[in-house]
Amino acid sequence: MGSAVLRVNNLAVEFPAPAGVVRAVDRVELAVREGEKVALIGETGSGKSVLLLALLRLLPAGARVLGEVWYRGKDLLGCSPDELRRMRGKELAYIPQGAGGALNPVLTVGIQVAEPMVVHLGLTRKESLRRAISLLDRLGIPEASRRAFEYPHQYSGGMKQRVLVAMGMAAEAKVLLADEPTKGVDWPRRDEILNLFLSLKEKTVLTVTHDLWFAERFSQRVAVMYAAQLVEVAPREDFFSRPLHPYAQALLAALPARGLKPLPGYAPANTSYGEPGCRFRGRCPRAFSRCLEEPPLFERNGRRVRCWFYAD
Amino acid sequence: MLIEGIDLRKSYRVGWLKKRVVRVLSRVSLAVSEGETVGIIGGSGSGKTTLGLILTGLIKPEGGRVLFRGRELDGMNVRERKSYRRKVQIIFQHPETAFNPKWKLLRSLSEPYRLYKIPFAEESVLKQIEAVGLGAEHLARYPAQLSGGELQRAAIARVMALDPEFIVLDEPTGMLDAITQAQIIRLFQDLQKDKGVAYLFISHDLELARLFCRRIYRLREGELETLGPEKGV
Repeated sequence: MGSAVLRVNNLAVEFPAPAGVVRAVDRVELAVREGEKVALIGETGSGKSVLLLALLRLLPAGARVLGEVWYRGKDLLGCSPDELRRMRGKELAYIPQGAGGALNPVLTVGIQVAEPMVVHLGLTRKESLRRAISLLDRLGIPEASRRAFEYPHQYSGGMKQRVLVAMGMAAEAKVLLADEPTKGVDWPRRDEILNLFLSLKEKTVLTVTHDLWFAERFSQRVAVMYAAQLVEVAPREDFFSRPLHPYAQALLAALPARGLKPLPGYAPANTSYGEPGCRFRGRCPRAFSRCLEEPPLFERNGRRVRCWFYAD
Repeated sequence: MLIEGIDLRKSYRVGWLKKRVVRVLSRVSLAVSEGETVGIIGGSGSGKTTLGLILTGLIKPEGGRVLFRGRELDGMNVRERKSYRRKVQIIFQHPETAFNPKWKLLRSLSEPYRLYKIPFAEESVLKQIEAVGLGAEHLARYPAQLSGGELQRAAIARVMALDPEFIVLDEPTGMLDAITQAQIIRLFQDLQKDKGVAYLFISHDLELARLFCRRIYRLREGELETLGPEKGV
């Protein structure tokens, strides 16, 4: 594993809202090394998907993105739209959620997988289609040479997810950004998607998920978001054996295999993010007076955790 | 016995010209008594939702009978049918599809009162939603302004307004994160302790079913197999 291929510095994303500006992502610092698999976990609305889209500047025009996103010595937020268009798909690829309508229903699967090769690699249509078929075959689509000429509705959910991964890999992108690859997917299919992701050995993958089962088996490092902020970053084994942040501890304790113990309450409303103090303190079993100030991310044995409990 | 399905059979016609027949239930029998939780495990397309829909009377089986408190569904008179409709409810995996997106929550939650001519007061709705962990501020919101967990709680509150005796829970936590899932399952358990309601818990998560259900069955190729009695938590 080499140096950081993707580095996010002080990234913030703001959306205009009737009640003022909402900061959906707040000062996130994260580096992903070459070949590394990182899972970004957190509940719905914690800002993890917005972060992923912000990296590729795929957010709607109303969003304001602050900070820096470095990819191999280039600031993606400073790139011209043309430069960025050339990099999307070729260097960094986005893999959307499979269950939704991410595929074009009126184009055959083969054409959709071949398109990035025509655009980014300058291949002919015939050559790109040939490669698309071999890619689909490699990703486990049965009878790929026939099924490449079928339409998305003729594919099962697990196969559609494979197609989306194939599209992400088509132009040989080295960094894959995946959004909830196992959301709303049942057990056998979840296994299938896990195996597919485990087969992406040489790629750098940052995946957003709320599926801890998947994160534990796929990632090497886990980053946890709560209410728009990173609250913990840790190697996978450390995280699942000894989570540090009280939210992370509650998250793991809520798993059926670990006793299904629920943490009461809800995450704070995104309009209250501007208030001072730790955003988790209202639900935190360990909150004390210091939590009225916002905790920074503390470094501890190669892990980072945003909690006053770990202040020196 | 509270609700009973006997020899239920159901198949669907699929394919472009609806020529292929897929049998999802072949002679399935299942009985649930008052206040207990029974689990049904199965993959997608195994027919577990179909079974839930038949027991709630939302679709008709091709063969077999459904009995509620010993009365056969087909032989019920209008009054019995209305009472069955009220006492047997269902909660779905995607709560966002169970609410009218153009209605504020208060209007959606007062609908059962209108339908069953239960005297309505805003306080009773408020009590109903406080019992599931929501508050007055949620009533003024549209479904799009609520999280998945909040919407699922609202769906539970709406169902509980009718004092049901049996609820089919069709993957009620499938789209929720771990903490919200644990909250919702505990809420179902509390409601059961309080009101004695029985559940049919449909899921693909055996681990979760083991914690929640007293008996578990697997639905495979149209037939139920017993996975043995389980210890609840």
